Amino acid sequence: MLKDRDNTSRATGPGPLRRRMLGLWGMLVLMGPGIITSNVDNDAGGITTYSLAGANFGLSMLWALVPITLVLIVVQEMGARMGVVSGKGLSDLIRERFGVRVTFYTMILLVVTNLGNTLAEFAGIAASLEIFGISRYIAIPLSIMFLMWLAVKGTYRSVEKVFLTACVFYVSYVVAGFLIKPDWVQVVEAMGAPTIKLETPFMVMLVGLVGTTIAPWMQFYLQASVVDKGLAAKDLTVVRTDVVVGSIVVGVVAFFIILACAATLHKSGIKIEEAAEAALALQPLAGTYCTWLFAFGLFNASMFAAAILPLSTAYTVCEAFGWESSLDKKFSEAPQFYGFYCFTIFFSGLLILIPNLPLIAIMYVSQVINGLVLPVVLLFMVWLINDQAVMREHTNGIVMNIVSWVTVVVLVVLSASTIFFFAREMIAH
Amino acid sequence: MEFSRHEQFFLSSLLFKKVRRASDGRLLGKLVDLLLDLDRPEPEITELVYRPRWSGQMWRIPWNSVASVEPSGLLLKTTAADPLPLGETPSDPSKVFLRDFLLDKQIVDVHGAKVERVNDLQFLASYGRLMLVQVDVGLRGLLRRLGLENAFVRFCMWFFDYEPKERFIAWHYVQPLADPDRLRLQIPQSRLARLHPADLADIIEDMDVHERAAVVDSLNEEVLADALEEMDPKVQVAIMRGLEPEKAADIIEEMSPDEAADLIADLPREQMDVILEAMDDEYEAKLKSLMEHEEDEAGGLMTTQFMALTPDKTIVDALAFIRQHANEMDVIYYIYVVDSESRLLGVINLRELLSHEIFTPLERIMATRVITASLEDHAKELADLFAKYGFRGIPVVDAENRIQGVVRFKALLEILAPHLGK
Repeated sequence: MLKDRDNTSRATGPGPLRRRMLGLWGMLVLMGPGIITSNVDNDAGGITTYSLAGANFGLSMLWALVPITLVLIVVQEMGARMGVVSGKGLSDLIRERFGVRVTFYTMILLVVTNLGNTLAEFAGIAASLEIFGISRYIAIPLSIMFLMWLAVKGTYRSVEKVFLTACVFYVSYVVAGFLIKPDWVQVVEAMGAPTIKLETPFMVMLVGLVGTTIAPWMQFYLQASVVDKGLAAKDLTVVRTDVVVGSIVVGVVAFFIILACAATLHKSGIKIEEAAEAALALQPLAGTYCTWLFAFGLFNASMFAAAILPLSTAYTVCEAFGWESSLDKKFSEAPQFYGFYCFTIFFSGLLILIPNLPLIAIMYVSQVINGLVLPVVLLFMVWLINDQAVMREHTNGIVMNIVSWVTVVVLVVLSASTIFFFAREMIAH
Repeated sequence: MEFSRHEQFFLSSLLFKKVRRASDGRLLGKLVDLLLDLDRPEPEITELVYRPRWSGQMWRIPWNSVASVEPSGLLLKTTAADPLPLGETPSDPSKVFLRDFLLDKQIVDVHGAKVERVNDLQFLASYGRLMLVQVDVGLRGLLRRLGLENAFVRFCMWFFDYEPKERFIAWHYVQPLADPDRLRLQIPQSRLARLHPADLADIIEDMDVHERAAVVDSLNEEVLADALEEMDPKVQVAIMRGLEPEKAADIIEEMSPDEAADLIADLPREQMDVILEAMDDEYEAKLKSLMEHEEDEAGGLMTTQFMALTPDKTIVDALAFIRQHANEMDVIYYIYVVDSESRLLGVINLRELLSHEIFTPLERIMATRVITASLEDHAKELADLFAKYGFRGIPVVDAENRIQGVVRFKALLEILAPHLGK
């Protein structure tokens, strides 16, 4: 059969035997699905939302990261476990257990949400390259061409490694966070005594934080990558470790972005309206070069996610409806798959070219939509994970069920009240 | 509609219809599922399952109690049997619920050699009986379930002047996958064994772990070994990791050594060791020597299943030898002529073997100018040789001209094909 073999197993290195072993199993431990997903999670929308949270609300939102990270761990563990035990993707399971109708409307919701996210990634690309003085009318068409080339050439795996390496950028926020010498007593106080303000901006930001950290599409993506790796029930421990480590990385990065922005932007009263302003949070580390450093990080994050999101969307939808879905296939063999891929990229890419779009707002709002859609996806996950026909002896334990149901209820209440607050404000105006 | 004539039915048009008693017109509930008897040559619906409104308890009733199917719902005969609560009677293993077994599930289309998802089912109603004829895997089936089929077809006719086609698969070509335990039991009936190994490999790649495990159990080792050779390394590893070492070793021994060596080398260390342990010693030694070479060098590409004879043998001996060993050989188009130390003296292809008088000794007809490769030759150099001479296989020799193996064109093609572009 004429398929590209795993690229990792053909790189040069130590003797063939050891090399091939490292190829498959070393990568699993070092860069498992959990770690990769969490790095894609810190995308344009993520960086923007965390920056806004720090700039607008100072340290007062920091506490939220603790429960969010915990929930992220619980949710991702469920997704990974489902992938390992059932060997099926999430949309596959939704279709098989809930039928066509439910699947159809869920997919519409997901495609719309993912389009919003891809739009945010392109906004990130435009915003970051404009810092380098490259007009979006050049940057976006070039990016679209690059993404098309990726799909045609099938060089995803090697490019993925470049993106992952560049994710080291997030360390600069951690360093900046320490260089600022924040008042750690204040930080601990902010973490220990949660503040909740029942006012629209605060609630919306809370939903945005949840939505960017626990994005709905991530759950489909993570489960699909676990299935794709061909992991089995005996790998559960490794998979769990991978997922927990990945989730904690997300939490730590988010923590330091908010901290850095709170200590710099919030203190000097800067409201982020341009990407360059968000870059000022890195000033203690990089001085005048902070905008360049930030632009580089934002560009990498946006491009990485822009490469993966359309692919994940196409996989998810095609899997649900039983259409051929693989980059190994030709266009004529998998028209729906490539169709969705191209549509997602062109639609979002070209939309960004409309003059004077508020890029920061787009990136932020897409994450809020994520947060609003998340409860729906979670509900499916909790139902499926307790279904013995799917999970056999690996259904949720009591503790996991309490945590996940409480999460669902809290998120539903949060989403509903945010919509309520928002609607009331709209009417009042 | 009366049941006295032939009529086509879609499952989607029956599901969620109201079920009423003809005698007093009382509404019993909504039809939620059908029970299919697979044991008959034409699978037939034997029972229907309905659920009363606001109730979790489902009830079953024989299909022959149905008097007619009206647009407004199903009418049950006055003489209908009493409904039984679902789940109390022990279920017959030859009977399956459509929504558990087929609807929205994956099946293999054995004819088209593809994994498909079932969108709808088509029945033939004839004299009160309902027989499953074909499964619908097309877009129209999907839209029919959503109640959008007519709108969609009308739109296509109006806008594109084109009627979207139905995509049906006749039941005869359908291999359901949804119930792995059943798949395991039905080894003799499995329609998968009819497929070409390369198609089977593609299909197995599209399955989930449980389906794969069931298929692996249901196929014999030879078929499986052939299919494994064609599979993606990631899937090979996943399958091997789910097997007992002895069974894995048995299957691998059926594979050609070059493919087997690649597979083994991709496995995690501990598993590699147990499988090699479970293997025949001679085969193990062979594999280990192959595994010392890079995957894209002659030494890693070659197979060791080829035929070598001494020059004093005659054509009769050679043909007898071929007849005896052809099954286990990877290369049968060439006979290599070697001395007692297995130094390569010449080569004879099958055409020459057949076109000479049968008592001719091999040394009289062999070609002595043999194009060979050395163990370290890269795939690219081999490709040049294949391109230049049009061979089917090139012998690989060591520094002393002793034959080590043969690189088949097929093995090379697998390495080169990904670079040929889409």
